[in-house]
Amino acid sequence: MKSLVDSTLEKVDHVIDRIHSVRRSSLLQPDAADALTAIAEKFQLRRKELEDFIKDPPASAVIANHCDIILSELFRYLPHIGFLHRARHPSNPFEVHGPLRRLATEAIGDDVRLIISSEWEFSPYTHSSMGDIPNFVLLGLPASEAENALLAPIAGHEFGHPIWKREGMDKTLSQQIERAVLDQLRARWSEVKKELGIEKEEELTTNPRAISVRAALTTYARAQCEEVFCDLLGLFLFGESYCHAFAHLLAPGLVAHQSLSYPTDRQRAEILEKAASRFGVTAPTGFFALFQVQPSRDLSSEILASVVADLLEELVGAVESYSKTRNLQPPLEAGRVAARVALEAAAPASNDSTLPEVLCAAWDLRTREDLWKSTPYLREVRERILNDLVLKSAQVLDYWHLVGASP
Amino acid sequence: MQQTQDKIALPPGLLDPTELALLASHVAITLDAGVRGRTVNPAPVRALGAILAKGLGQSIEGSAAGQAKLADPETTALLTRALATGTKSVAVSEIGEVQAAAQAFVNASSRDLSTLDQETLAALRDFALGVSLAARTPQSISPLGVPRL
Repeated sequence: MKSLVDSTLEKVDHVIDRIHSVRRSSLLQPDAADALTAIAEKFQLRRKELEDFIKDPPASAVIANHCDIILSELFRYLPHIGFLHRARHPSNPFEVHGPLRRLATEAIGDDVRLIISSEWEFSPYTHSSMGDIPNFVLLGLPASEAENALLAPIAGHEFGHPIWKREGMDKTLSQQIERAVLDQLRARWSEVKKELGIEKEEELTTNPRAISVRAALTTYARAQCEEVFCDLLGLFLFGESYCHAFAHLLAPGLVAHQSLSYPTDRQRAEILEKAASRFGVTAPTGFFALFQVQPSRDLSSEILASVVADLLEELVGAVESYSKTRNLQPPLEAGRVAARVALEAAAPASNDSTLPEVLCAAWDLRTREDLWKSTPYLREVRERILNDLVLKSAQVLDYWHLVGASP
Repeated sequence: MQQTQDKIALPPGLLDPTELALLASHVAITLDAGVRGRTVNPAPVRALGAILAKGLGQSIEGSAAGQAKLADPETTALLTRALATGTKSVAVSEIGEVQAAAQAFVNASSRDLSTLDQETLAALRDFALGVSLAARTPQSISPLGVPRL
């Protein structure tokens, strides 16, 4: 049997080879090439450590632990490499890359990199970051939806994750989250004490099992707050087009497969609808009603839902204050109207509108019963035409940016 | 937007779990070198000591001064798992044991490692291995998991 070190080294060599072969392929997005380089460098470091093990072997438990870490890195990064490989596929909406990347730069910072690709999983954005390699925003639509430019608003959610980390929102809200979890455990004390097998409320802070449960709930609550922050940022940046894209992908809510790291899709929709007016957005009619109630929920889910509801005001405030700091603008009515007029005339929008304004206009038209009623040849393929118009509008924005006349 | 697996996260005072697992593994590697009479690189040991000191709610400079209270439930739970899942797993019945183990590591990390005997280095290495494993061990899927019907 091959030694653990030798077989791990072989696997690392194979992944490095694979990275190099993807890197050599054509049509690679420049940001994707940088990501591949960063991943390759990471595995080169692991390679060197394994070579050191061969020269001067440490205790077997140390070797096993480190090889396990390397194995988990292979598990973690191979899907990213696949994502970068698929980023070359012509079905990806490359046209929106430029405007979205500029928006990402405005929202996050100059060093951010954006990669548009697709996933062979319907769940969008399975990878919210490039492992522990910073500054990459991954925009990965389900492969069957990859050509749908009207789903670009979902990028707003992905912009939220690096902001949450960079701005240390975790730290800012840490104590409030911890306190909210404890408050909810106390509020449901009769059920909680049965579950934990403890008698007094004070034991919530001293009993090892109670602390472990509080820890897990706090971790999940933090993850849920991050997701809500990201949704709210998406709503702020893309207005009602974010709700449309969200509903298109997630309604009625996959109720049987909810992860504790996310609020239920229904709660997310409810939050978006509530927060919309704060950002000057009108949520689409019937948006929240599209999402089903989860039929069976456990105590953890209920506590987490209450914690998120308790902290909603802070999260909305965090988005408002961050947007103000970065001078970010939500989609404006004038830009929406200009885009709507152009798209309705089956023409791309001009640089009087931003990409989020174009997307709001496109979703608005998509839901209009009377769109192109008098032009049946357009009406028959209205979704396709609208999609093409959004893509062309993005190219127009890119053109004006290149010639130095970006709005 | 929607991940298929629950992610593990650590409190803000600590590193990202994968980074913490890797750092703790590097600590175990260098301390193991010390156990075998080789030179110990103090940098990763100090880095982990500083992170744990933060988890204990104290500065590394003040770490030798005495006991501090564990800062939050997540750090406490992580370190409890570290003791329970390390090479010499310990069944934790009181939080004080967790605190003491973390404190011992923090105190040792600020000392000249070449002055520590092999037994101490081995104990610190095992603790680091426990932290490395605990940092990448998922938490229970539903901590209060009785479904409502």
